[in-house]
Amino acid sequence: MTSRDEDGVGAELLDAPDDALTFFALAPPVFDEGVLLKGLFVSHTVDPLFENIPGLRDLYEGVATTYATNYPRSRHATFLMTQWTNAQKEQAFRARHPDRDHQLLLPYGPADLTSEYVFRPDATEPDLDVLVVARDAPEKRLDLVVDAIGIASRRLRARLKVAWLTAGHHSPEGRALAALCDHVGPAEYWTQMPGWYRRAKLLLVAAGDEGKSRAMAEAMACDRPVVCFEDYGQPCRGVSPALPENAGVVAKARDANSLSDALLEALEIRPSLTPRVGWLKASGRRAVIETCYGQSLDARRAFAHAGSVPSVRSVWLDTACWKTHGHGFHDVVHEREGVVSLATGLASVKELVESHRAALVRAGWSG
Amino acid sequence: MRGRYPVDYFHKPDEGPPEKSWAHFDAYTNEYLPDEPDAADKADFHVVLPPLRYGKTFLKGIYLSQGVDALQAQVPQLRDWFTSVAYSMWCSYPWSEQADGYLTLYDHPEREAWFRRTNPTRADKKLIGLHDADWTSEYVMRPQPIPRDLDVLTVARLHDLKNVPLIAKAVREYERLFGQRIVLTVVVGKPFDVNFDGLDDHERGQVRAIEEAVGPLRADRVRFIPLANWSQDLPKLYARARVCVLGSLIEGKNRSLQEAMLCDTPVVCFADYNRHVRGPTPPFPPEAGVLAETFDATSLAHAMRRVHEGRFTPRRAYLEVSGRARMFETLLSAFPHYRDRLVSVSADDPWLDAAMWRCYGRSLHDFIHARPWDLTWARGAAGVTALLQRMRAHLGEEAAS
Repeated sequence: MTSRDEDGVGAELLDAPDDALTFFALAPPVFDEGVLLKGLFVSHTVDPLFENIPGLRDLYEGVATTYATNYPRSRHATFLMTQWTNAQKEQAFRARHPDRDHQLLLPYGPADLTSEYVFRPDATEPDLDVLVVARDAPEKRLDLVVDAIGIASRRLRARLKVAWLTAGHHSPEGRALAALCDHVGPAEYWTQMPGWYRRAKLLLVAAGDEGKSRAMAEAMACDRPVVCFEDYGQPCRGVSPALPENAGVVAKARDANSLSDALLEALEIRPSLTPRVGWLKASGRRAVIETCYGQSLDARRAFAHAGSVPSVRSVWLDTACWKTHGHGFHDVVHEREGVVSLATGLASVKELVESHRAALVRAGWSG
Repeated sequence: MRGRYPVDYFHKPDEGPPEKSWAHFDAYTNEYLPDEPDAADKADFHVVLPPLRYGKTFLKGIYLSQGVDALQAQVPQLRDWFTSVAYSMWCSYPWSEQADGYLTLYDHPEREAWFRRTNPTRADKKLIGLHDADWTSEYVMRPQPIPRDLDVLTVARLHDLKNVPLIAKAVREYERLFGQRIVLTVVVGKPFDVNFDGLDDHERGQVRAIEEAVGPLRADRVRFIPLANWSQDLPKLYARARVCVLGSLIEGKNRSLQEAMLCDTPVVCFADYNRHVRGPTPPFPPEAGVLAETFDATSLAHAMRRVHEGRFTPRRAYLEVSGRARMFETLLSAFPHYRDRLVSVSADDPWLDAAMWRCYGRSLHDFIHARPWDLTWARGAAGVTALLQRMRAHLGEEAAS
């Protein structure tokens, strides 16, 4: 069942079939010096997971996401991903749901968990001016993309080299954009997408009312600036900025001329922009985990019992991770050295959780 | 390697005065000095930071070596690409004339002031209270999920300096004091057979002294492991040990102490260990092990017992104050070249991390922890030249111009 409430529409599943369950271990549970620190998992199926896996609550705290702009409806999650800090929206949510005041609002979205090891800079010199990563759908406002590229080309008196990553195109504006492009087509996520971002000088986004864009996060993680409208995501993010500091250029007015201005400005000042640094200051897995540890009562208690501050830099945490899982915390968080953090389907999730339970027992946890 | 080995300090706690001891310590070095045969072929080269394009500026790398002068004589362009930091692999301050900085083992303001007074031609060197042992890999030396089935471990050459016979005597004393027989495992780091063929006369003398301490050598009192592979076998041996013991009174910063702590194994050494070398700095954090108060077997046996009966957190305690990330930051902070150019001198700095990805295709975290190690280590002028070529290929020829 897809959830819907006053906050909008999302993909959260409250009674999902077994094969639709997903589980991303953002941070694993660790045990050392007699102290258990529960893990953190992110899912759009938090409630069915807790209901179907006995003992999961002993090992993990849940982080619910809807993959969209609405607040999750999960009743069992410790954290609800809200994408951005938005005091007004939070107050309204609290007023509507007084029975859920124990749940913590986490101002991040799945895009903030983009792998900075997969999406990373390298020495590639861009050979494309503009990259567009968008479905051919009305909300992506491809008509504005087409017009902005056309205006910019005329002002430059040169044709911009454009690539559009999409599964297909059918609309008139889609066909118009394809006609402007040097490349149109899909890209395999892990192996091809990072390379496309690095080949482009910038990412152009014309969408408006969306949650945090995964493509924006991926581009910035690859150290490529983003051009978008200043009101991007406005209803959801409130007064939070559309882009991190020095990560791109925003168009002031929601029209093609303004978007074109921003595009040309970004091309000009590109060497002085620092998108990856800006993104990592505001986002990334470590930032999300750090926020969770700082807010969760269970986590704060565990760190206090271990005589440590609740931080991803905690030496206690890293040592406990080595002793529980045989890997440093950095490698586990970034899924390196063969670390598996993602499971889909009830059987696979149970297997992953059981492997973590067994690791805790080997480290001395008695349950 | 040159100078007078201060043998007088091997078996007698150093009563000072400190200035006299410092002069004796500094009279010997394990550096590869440039007028020695093959020095430039033997010299090591540890890259802490590679040269980088950092925004619009060129950032020099930093390397550590026992042979700074020998390397820079053979590879003069090193000066353009790197800040050099010498270490002596001993408790002396380095003798290098060319190095920009010295690793001086511990922060010790009195010794530093004395050094600058007595060595005016080298008084401008940056003195950094660390040693090569502080650069021990915490990824190689790591906790292992295996039972602790070795009572006492020492990782030591069979050299007079190491006082292994005294540790053996302490193992016997332990049995007398506490009614429990324990076994000492000695990792020697050199191949030899059951008849001790492969050892030189000095080493055989140490074996005889061990035999005198514990009686006829049997595996139920002392067990020798001739040679352990550093990256595969040694971490497991540390992890199997209930305690790792160092018997020396003076050394450089002993590597086995750091390695043991990183493997989460508690440590024991004498309170007099490196007394005037380290000044007020303790040999290790109190949560990492126990100091034997007096230089004798009984005190050592009591310290081992306290470890066997206590609870310690060696890796955590060690990394709270040491480790590669801290050493990286300390080294960069020592030189204005980095302080003046970097947004922040931090092993977590996203600017440095982005520069590392762009220049070398790896994260700052991975470089600091030598993963992979292909750009982090070389030996000899030829190896360093080849490494520089690989770095140039990443950076472009004009980077250091």
